[in-house]
Amino acid sequence: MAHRMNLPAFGMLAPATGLIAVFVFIPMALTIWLSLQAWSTQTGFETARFVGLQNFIDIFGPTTVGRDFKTALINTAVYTALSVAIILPLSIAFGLLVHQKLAPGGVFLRTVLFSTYMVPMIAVALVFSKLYSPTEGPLNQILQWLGLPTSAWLSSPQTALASIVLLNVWQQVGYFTVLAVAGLTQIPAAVLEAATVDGANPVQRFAYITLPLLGNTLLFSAVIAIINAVQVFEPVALITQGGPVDSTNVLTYHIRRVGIERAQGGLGSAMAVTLMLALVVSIAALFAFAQAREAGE
Amino acid sequence: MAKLEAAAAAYSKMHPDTKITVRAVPFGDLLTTLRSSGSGAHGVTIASIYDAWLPDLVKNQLVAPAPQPIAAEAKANWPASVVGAASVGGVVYGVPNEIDLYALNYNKALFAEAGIAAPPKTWNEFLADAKKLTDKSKGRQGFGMINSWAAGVLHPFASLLVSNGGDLVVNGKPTLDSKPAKETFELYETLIKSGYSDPAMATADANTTGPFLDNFVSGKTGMIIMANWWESALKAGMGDKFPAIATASIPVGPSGDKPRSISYSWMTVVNAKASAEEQKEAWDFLDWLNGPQSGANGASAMGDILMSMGILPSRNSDVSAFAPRLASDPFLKGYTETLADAKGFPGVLGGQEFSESLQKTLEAMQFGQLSAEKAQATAQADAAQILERNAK
Repeated sequence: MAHRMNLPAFGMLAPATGLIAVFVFIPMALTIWLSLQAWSTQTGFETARFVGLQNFIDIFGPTTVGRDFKTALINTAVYTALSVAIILPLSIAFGLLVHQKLAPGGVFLRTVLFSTYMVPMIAVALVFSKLYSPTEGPLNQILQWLGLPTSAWLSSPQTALASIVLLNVWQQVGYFTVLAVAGLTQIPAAVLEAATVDGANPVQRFAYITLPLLGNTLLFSAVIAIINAVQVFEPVALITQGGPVDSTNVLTYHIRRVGIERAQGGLGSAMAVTLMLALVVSIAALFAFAQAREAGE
Repeated sequence: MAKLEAAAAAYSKMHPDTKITVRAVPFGDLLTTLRSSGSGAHGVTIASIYDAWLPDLVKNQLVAPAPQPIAAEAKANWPASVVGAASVGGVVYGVPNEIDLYALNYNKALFAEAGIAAPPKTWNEFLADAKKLTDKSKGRQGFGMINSWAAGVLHPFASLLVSNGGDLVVNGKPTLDSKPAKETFELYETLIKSGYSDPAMATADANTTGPFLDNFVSGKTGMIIMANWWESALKAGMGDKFPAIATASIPVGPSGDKPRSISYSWMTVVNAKASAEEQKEAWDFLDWLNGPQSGANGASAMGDILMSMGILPSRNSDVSAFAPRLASDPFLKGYTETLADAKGFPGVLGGQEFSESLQKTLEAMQFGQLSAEKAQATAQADAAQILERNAK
């Protein structure tokens, strides 16, 4: 009986799960298999030679392969941490600003904020590469007019990655502000009014009501922000090519360099698998943290 | 691009069965494009490549060997060094076209302002001039280095190295542990430590845009070392101020005997996975495009295309056909003077990885992360490891 009932369900699920299997699971399984092989991307899979965990040993080893990979891994982690740490609080702050009804212009401000997300990255990259020019760029000229110290921006290994983070924040914050506004609209006005009647000031209302009730929105935003940040590629490829001194060489760009440009498919796959594992662990840790917090409440 | 399309159209008119479309790919994306979308049976039939990539592309069986008549034509009409760069294991794989080398580019107005009468001929003069040209109060550097672009970082360094009697690679082994290499690393360190080169003014990319170009065209950099194809970028950036730029041979180092430069060439190759018919049509077209019948006055159509961009053609008959023009071009003079003594960039397996590794080490030195001594040791060790691994 149960068997007969499951058949239509399987039939209806088959197209979707079949597509997922073909376009997600098979490529993932193939990448994992290739990460255990010595293989040139320019040759057929039949030329792949099993090397066990050697590719993983190499990418974490002391040679140039390992040093470059570890630099890219750290750069990606720093880029992701900085992006999330800046975007989330900023999106909440902007969300509160455009959600309030005390002053007019909230909808207009929301549109302006979201518009940055719609600008193609190629345009953003071109504009920011000029804005960041140490000698000719307007950012340093403005800093000079204000009597503030200038920065080398993309032209120094100390500041290049942070400059790419700023570019990312500028482009993405509007999208996350919209998510924050969506979360804010879900908070019942009656709860906030009750808190006001009980004598809670704006800071207390934010800390004890708004922020906790935005928990799910923040969790979703954090997951999306992490995934977006880990996948950063275009600004690096378009502006810095990973330099100077590999300071902006992030994993996606490095995997492209190793796997495609140098045709080292096995090493590139091992890097991709490591990136995937790091992402899965990070997201799982985030969910575990959120669940623990919820259980604590 | 327009001239190449015109040449292709002219050929198609004579050969109606041959259809040719031209696609431009930025240099920074070219190798990746060839490896990803250009290498299958339905990829591009003909590709223009940089000679350092050839050994790896041949190893991966992406490019077809030239048919015997084309190979014989190349050997008979191009300098042996250029044919050598288009060959692997004695087999010719491409039809050579352009040759590029490096020279000192300097701003005559800044030289006059600093009281310098002539371009430097030795490293001592070079350092002395860099010192005179540097004026931090005006945001001016004496010599402009490049970062964030592998060839841009590596080739000027390699040119100074060969002008000091050294080499990057000999017989497939790196020779960055030599005395001339030590002196070249030390020259870079002196330029940086003395403030004659500012790494913050050095960022560039493979399309030549960025602060490196901005600073030279706006008169904030006194001297640079760059390739001849750079002329069109300079003209576009400087407009009517371009005549202020002059060229000279690379200064000779303490261990060098005469001005030298690194050189590299470009060639057109044919996709090994294209059908036999497509390959034949491709080689026929390349033979015509690079032959003396396709252009005016004994020059090839390709030679004409290259000269329109300030690029030196490498075919002997093109060099003869354009000799008066090459001799009268003051910008190209600094390049053509050194051509006979140029050393080809080493064609080795893993050449791109080797270049990127040395780029990183030189950049680390530019930004004070490595001393000259440490940079030299790192560069040699990394290069040995990379070349050995790729040779397997």
